[in-house]
Parts: sequence; structure tokens; C-alpha cells
Amino acid sequence: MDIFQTLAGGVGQLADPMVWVMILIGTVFGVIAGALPGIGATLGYGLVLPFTFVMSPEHAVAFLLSISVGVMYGNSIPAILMGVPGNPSAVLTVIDGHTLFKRGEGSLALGVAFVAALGAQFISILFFVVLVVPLTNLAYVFLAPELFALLLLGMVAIVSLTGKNVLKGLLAAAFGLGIGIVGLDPINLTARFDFGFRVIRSGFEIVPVVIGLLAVSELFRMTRQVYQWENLSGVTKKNKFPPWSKLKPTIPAILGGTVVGTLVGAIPGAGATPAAMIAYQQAQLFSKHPEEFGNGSIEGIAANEAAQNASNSGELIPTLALGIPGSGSMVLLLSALTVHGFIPGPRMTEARPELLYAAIAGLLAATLFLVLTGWWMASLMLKAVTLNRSGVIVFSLAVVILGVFSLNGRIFDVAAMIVFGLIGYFMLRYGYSTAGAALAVVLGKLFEQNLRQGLSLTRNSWGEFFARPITATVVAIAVIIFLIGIYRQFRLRQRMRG
Amino acid sequence: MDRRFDLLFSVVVVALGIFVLVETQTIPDGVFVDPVGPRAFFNGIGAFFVVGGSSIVFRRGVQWFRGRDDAHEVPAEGSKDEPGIPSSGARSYGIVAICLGYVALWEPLGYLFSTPVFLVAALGAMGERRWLRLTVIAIAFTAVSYFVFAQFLNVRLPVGPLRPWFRDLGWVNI
Repeated sequence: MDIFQTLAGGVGQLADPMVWVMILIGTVFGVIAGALPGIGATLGYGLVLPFTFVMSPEHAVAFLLSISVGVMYGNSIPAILMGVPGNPSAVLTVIDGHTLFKRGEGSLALGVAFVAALGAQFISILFFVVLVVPLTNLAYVFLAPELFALLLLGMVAIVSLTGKNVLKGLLAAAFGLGIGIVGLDPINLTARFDFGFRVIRSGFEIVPVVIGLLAVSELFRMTRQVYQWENLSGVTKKNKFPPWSKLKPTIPAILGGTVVGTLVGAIPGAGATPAAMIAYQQAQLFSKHPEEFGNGSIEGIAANEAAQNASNSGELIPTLALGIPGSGSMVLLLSALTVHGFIPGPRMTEARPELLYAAIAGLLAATLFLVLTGWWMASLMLKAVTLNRSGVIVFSLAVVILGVFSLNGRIFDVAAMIVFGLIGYFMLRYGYSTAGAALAVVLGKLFEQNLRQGLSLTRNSWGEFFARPITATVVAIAVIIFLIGIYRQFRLRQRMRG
Repeated sequence: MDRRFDLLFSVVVVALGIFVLVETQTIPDGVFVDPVGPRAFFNGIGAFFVVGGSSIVFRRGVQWFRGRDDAHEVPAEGSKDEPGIPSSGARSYGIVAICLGYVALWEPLGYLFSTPVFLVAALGAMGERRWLRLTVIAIAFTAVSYFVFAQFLNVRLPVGPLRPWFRDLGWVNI
């Protein structure tokens, strides 16, 4: 299998009209799922999975991947317009995008998100095709110590999310880390901090906790005030696509985000959220205006959107090439394929290369569809400012509660989500970063697990652990970025005080 | 933000840190020994909570002691409310209580009865007063969402007292 054959195979799949039908339905569903707080790709996949059992495997893959593309684009819309991330990877788009919206520059924020998301998606498909074989070899090289180093790099991105008070931000991250590692010890499987409750013996489900901290907390905070969005000064119903001169400065951030998103997304267990965080941090480091990050930076939006969209293609690499799912949604993709008799593993696409072609077709056609209709969909959402704000908040809560219950059918997950939403409400009020906490929750379990399992691999030797070339390099980069990040945060605060 | 609440929150952080440190000591060592162990991360987190929280308490305390007036409002470090629009923390706590009440009623009343109650109560708490319109919208949302999730997507939503009837209709099999 070579690059041109693979690309041609993907385009060839589009000759099937049924593939187009699946992709169009999947993309629209994905945009809606991405735009609804708390739904996202994993839950979106979970809801439609039963339908894929009656499809052919190629149609199922194209359908599910078009949902991913739609979700990653769609989650920027509520992030910018309402200040509520559609899912965790869009939280940085909230910080910068919603700020721009409140300044009356919502069209600019949406335009940047549009160009970054779809541009990165197109480029990353090419990366996917070119790199799928050598990157799968790299996936074999990433053992526990290397994964730990990569997760450390992701954790370090928390420094960019600490907000005005670095100490409070780090406390929030420590809280998230603690929540993430509640449950069974990864080495000895002894229960920790379960207080005798069987329901949390394996730990908290990540999706309800993260949705609680990020989305529900914001919904609770929004209930403090009653007003209509269209009454805010600066809010505009105009949906003029921004001129090229305003989008041009975002190109380096888009390209950087695309590379980071594809590569980080390719590492099993990483995914869109750490990819977006790392890309955001990188963009801030290299930006000529780092002080704008967190205050309406278009480069920040561009880097975040590019990385999370590019990670779609990145996640596919270990999933389809090795049978190792790159994220929760990829777990569900593989589940759908096992129903069709496939055995996840390195030989899956070797036996049926059409799966790879269908993946390319899904990503390509969904992106093309969004290029043609995505701005209109986002413009439609601009008209959402005329919706009753109180109604949107309450119905969003109802949808989120229903969605989280649908994950496992456990009311405990809903209760946990509401409790973490309340905790997140106080965190938002008093300057403790919910984004930092949520990132730490997502990465925490893997962080501890890979450190301790990695030490077992190196015969409990710290020296041997950190002397591994990839581990040492990535840890060194993480330490440097952490120190630069702390220094920059203090400089920014001093500038703001001055 | 009100520095008194910020101070209180920081005290809670310190207390949480002490709790974590104490509770961590009850985690048993496992059969397999590794250099990190099952308690290291929690010990680190607990210690950081105590030190970090105490630092914030100390700083706030010094600022308060040295302050020349009794004004408790200090520059916000978290998300700010929209300026010029009245805000109410009580409303938010009310919404949280309504959500928790919804969770409590979910199984006994079932989705079809608890959801309209939740929607009407929450919208009422947000100041909506067109009760008939609210009720109609709430019932319509509940019916549509039940049909889509329970019947179409096969999500098992509880139906409460309607279970025998729905079972006879073949709509549920529990």
C-alpha cells in the first residue's frame, strides 16, 4: 500500500452515493452534537452506535468519522457565542473566542475558527496518509515512560490556563489530579478514597466530571444573572466573513496547531484535549503578542481549533493501523467494527484496506461539506442570540443531564456531574481554573499509571526511566516550557498591575 | 469579589488538604512495591493544598489587617458578572437544588414526570412567569426527547409509575 494508492482509494469511496448520505447525516449530527454542551464526540458516537450495526463497515467508519469532524467544528460555536465549550478541547476557544464575541467581534472569532478547523482538517488528512505507516512504527516506541513524558508535557500546559492567580490555578490542577486518580491503584488494584462506595471503586467516570467542571459550572454561573444576549452592547447579528488581512496573522498558529494536533493525536491516550492545550501553549510562546492570549487572541483560537481538528486524523493512526484506540470515541469506533467481525490489531487494515479508504473519505467529504455550509451553520447560530437565554440555559442543563445518563444509565454519574458543577461554580467565582482542573482529571489517571508502570519497566530505576532518549527529550522540553510559562505569567501580571 | 468568601474558600482548601493527608495514611501498601507507591500522589496533593491554601489565607489576612477601610470587595480573580445587571447567588444555588431534586425524583417518578417538573421549576427560578406556555413547552420537550432517546436510540430511561403500562405496550422490557 503506498500513499497515492491510499489517497486514490479514499477518493474512490466517494463514488458510492450511500457514503455521501452517511457523511452528510453524520456531519450535521456532529455539528449539532458539538454545539450542545456536554454531548461531544464520545457521547455522540454512543448515541448513534446501534445504527452502525446495520451498515456496512465502510459506511459505518465514514459515518462515525464525519460525526467527529462535525463535532470538532461544532464545539467552537457555543464556545464563542455562549462561553460554554461543547466539549473539553474547546475550553481555550471559550477563553479567547467568547471574549471577542463580547467585544462585538463574534464574526472574527467564528471566521478564525472556521478557517483553522477546516484548513487543519484538510492538511491533517494529507499528514495522515503520508505518515500512517512510519507513525505506527513510532506508536510501538511509545511505551509507558514515553507516554508519561508526553502527559507531563500536556500537564505543563496547565500553566497557560491558571488565569490571574498562578497558585490558585495550580491548586485547581492538583484538585483535578486528585479526582482523576481516585479509585483503584494502577499497580496493586487496592481501592483508594472510595469510602466503601462500590460505585467509585474504579474511580469517577471522566466524562461526567469534566462536563460538570467545564460546562455545568458555567451554566450554573450564568444563572446568576437574567438578561437577553441581544441586549448586551457589542453583540451583533451581522455575520460578515472577516477579510483575509485579519485572518493572515493566524496562519503560523494554524500550521503549528495542525502539526501538533496530528502528532499528539496519534499517541494513544493523548487525543484532542492535550493536543489543543500544547498547541495553544506553543502558539503563545512564539507569538508576537503573548499578552493577548486569554484576552481575545485570534492566534489562540486558531491554534486550539487547528490542533483539535487535526487530532481527528491523528487519533485514527493507532486506531486503524494498530487497533489501539486513540480516544474514547475511537474505542466506540473499534466496538462498531468488532460487531462486523473485525479483530482490532495491526492486521485489521491489512486484511481490509477499504476501512482506511472509508476513513479518508469520511474525513475528506465531511470537511468539504463544512467548507460549503459551515459558515452558514455558524451564521445560523449567530441568530441564536435572539433565543431566550434562560430557556437555553435550562434546556442545556436538561440535555446535558440526559446525555450523561445515556452514557452508562447511572443516575450517580448525573449526581456527580451536578456536584462537580457546583464545585466548578465556586472555582469560577474565586479564580481557580476549571480548565486546569479538567485537564488534570483527564490526564491524571494515565499520568500516575504510566509513571509507575514505566518504573516497573525500568526495574524501579529513576535514572534508567529518565535516561530513555525520547523520555528525556520530552521531559526537558516540558520543564523548559513550564519555567517559561511561569515567568511569562508573572511578567503579564506585572504588566497588568502597571 | 468578596474577600471574605475568598478567604473562606481558601480555608476550605486547607481543610481539604489536611483531610486528604489523614485519609491517605489509611491506604494500604500493596503486594507489589514500586518507588512511588499508592500514597505518594495523594500525599503530594494534600501537602500542596495545605501549603498553597495557607499561603492564600495568610496573604488575604495580611491585606485585610493592613487595609484602611472595611470594604470587602476586591478585584475579581475569577469570572466576572456582566456589569450593570443585577446578580443573585441565591438563584444559582436554587438552580443547583432543583437539579439535585431532579436527580432524586428521576427513578421514583420516572423521566416523563420528573422532567417537566424540573423544567418548569428551573425556568420559574429564572424569572419566567408564563406558566401555561412553560408547561406546554416542558411537556413537548419531554415527549420528544423520550421518543428520540428511549424509543429510537434504545437508552433505558426510567418510567416510574408508568412501568406496568409501558411493559404491556412493549415499550420497555424491565
